[in-house]
Amino acid sequence: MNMLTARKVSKSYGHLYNLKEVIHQLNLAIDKGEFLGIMGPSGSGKTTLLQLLAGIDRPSEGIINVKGQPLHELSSKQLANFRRHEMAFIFQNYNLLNDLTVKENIMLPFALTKNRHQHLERAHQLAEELGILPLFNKYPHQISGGEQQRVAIARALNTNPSLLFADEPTGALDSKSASKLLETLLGLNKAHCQTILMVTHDAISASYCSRILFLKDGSLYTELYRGERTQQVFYQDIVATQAILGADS
Amino acid sequence: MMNKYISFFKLKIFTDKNHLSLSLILSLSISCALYYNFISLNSNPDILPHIGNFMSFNIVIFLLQTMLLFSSLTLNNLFLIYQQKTIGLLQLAGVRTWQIFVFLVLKNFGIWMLAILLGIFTGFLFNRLLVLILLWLLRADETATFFISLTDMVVTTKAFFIIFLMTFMQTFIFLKRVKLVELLQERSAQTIFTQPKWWQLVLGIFGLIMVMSSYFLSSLLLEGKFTIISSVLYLVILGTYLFYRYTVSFCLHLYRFYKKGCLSLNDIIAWIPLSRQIRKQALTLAFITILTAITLTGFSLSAIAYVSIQQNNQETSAFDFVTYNHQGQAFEQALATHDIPIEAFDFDFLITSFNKSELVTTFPLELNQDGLFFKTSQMQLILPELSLSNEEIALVYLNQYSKSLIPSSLNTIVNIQEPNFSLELRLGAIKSYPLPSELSNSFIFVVNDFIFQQLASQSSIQEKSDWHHFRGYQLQDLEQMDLATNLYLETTNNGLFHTNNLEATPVTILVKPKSMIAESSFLSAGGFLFIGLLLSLNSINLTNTMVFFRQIMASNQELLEIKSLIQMGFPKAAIKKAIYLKKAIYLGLPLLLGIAHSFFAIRIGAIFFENSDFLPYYLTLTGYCLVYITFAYRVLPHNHLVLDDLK
Repeated sequence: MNMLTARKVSKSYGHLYNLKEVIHQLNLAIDKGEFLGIMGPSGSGKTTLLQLLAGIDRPSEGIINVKGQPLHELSSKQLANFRRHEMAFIFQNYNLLNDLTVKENIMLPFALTKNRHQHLERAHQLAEELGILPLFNKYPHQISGGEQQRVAIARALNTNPSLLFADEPTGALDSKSASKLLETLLGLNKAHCQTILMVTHDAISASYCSRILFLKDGSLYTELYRGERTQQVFYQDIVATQAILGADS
Repeated sequence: MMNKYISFFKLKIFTDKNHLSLSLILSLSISCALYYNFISLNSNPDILPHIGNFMSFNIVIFLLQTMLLFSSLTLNNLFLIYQQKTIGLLQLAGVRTWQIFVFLVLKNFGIWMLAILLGIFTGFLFNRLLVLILLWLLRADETATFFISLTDMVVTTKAFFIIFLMTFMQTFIFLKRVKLVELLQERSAQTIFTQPKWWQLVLGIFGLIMVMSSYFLSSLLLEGKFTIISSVLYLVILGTYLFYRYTVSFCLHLYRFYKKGCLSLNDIIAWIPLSRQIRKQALTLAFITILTAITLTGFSLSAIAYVSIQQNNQETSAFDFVTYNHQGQAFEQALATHDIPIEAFDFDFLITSFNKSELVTTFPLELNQDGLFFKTSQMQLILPELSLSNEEIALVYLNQYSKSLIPSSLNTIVNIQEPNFSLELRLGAIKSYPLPSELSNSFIFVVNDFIFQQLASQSSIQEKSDWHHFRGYQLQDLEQMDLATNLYLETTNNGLFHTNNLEATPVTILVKPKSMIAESSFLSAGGFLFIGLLLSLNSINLTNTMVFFRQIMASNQELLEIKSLIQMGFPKAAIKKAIYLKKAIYLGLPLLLGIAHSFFAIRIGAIFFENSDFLPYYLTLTGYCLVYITFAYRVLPHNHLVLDDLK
């Protein structure tokens, strides 16, 4: 079953005489429980694609369906609501709110919900699972980058989203924290069948994914399936594809 | 080198997307226009004949300069913090500190010179309008001409240039002390939230107690405890600072504790960041609050005084004219010659000194030790219901102020002690009647005619009673007031009465007709109201610019957080609502606290103006709030633009 589909999606910026097409006629389908990576050189449209798929931005052309719901049919308010309930995000800079404690940050998605206290138990569970329960009353500036990113994951998963979007989640982490985070994401994908869509430029991070899309100049260049390959072999294939992509550029 | 300066100047002036430079120019030019207009009053030929020497120009100029200096230093400091990243990047690019200093000084010089030129030009344009307003307030039946004073323009430029030099020094110290690593820090100390400590809780409670006790003490002033005024002032200032620094954050911390981690969007965007911002910006907010309170108090008291003049004049004296010690014959003859009907009332009185501790708890300095004694038969002409036995005494208060000094209740025992005479009387009545203002510095008592005669026979009392009689006149036809006033001045040597005391030393008393007292009251109250108006406008202008700077800087720091909330699916409308709530609280809190402070200050002040009618206060308050909100409104579009741009 397709969790997300994109048909002939294009995105352009600028006006008539200065039009720049960032995404060009892109087709895509993501299944439930898939861990998809999006890679490509700078300016290839990775982040723009992620923003279009997440409904943060609207495509200039084409249709995007999430769980069978065409996003273009939703008003801005409905789209925001849909995003809040069905999708979740983790960012390179964690984007935690500095004035809130870890606990308050994790409970943030329920800020517009009436019975917020009902969700406290899940927040505790997630924090325990991610090993951040002892940090519950600390502020973001009092914990490490890796811990902050785990708080961001807990915040993202607290609404039990259908889709988890991650934009360069390991970009600001050291290698040890990065691999720990990716293990966590993989664990969530395997154990809870969580659909994850991750933008990354790092081959090691991408090797955790089950499929990788390579973008070039806003179009799909190629895609790689991990299949039965080991992570090591998959990593080498990714590096090789990157090299070909680089040479073509 | 010069090109470098020019390009940096252009870069910082014209690429400032939040228009803080323009806002600073606007704010300084408004202040400059008001300053120029104020000092030019002192040389304006249309105004000079009216204001004479009553206006304390130097004091108000000093107040204006102090207000400007503190505000300019605060604004310059905020402006430096706003630009610190640019300064850091320039240092990183190899530009030396002294070169950056020159850049900044050149830019500030440009801003200040532009503001001064614009301010003086605007001041000149609005000068006639302001002079017309002042003349209207002074009730002067004249018009104003366009007036240019080059000397005042130079004086204004000098004053502002001196303040600019102060900011120049401040910039120098800032650059000397700040480190490159601090300049480039993404997160300043202002944005870090820290948990309140237990001692901060104590200080928070202490701050609240200080503010509350100052309010309480200010109500005690009604009993005449003037010596604690300065203590109240210090309590309010310190209490206000502690309130912002600790009380607010403590209260919000309690609220947060109660929420147990489940915060609403309003909590996340408005209340929690506010508790940090208010705490970190306590000094600025306390300054704004005190400035608001002082200007609002000054302005409102002037308005109350102005509106009260007519009423006060009625309270000051029930008589249009007064003559002392039977010296009004010439005046009465002149009135008869001009066929002006008048009603006259005669009063004999005695001056005694006695212990008044039974009557008043605190004795105000401005009230002399004497008591004036009148006889019942004469007082019954104006207070027909007054009747006293041989053992009774009545107390007459002249106005609300003197009433506030008399906490006595009926039946209090009053002892009159003279060297060869002593008398114990019971307070039988407390009455109100406006006797002539010359007598208002003494307690006024009425005794029955028999006791009055006994007192009059005492040589010690005779010695003190140089003045022993007055005759009050009430004009029958008020249209003849001008003529009667001229006759009074002509026949009484401009209201100057003479007598000799027992040692044959001449003593004099100056008695003004009631209409002239009103005229001079309008002059001083109108002048003060005008000063209050200028100071209020200046205060709103400067305080709002400070708040504007603070809010723009805070908005920029919070931009990323707002952006991630939008990406997470929080509707922009709900976010906007929460941001407006935050701005409203940040802008409204100093205003509300300033109003509360001023309310208590005005309660005391209004007593001096003998007016319990707070309508002028509410009117000035409404006007002040409307202008404040108009100025404050400029903070909101910034958030609109930022939010609309965000995805």
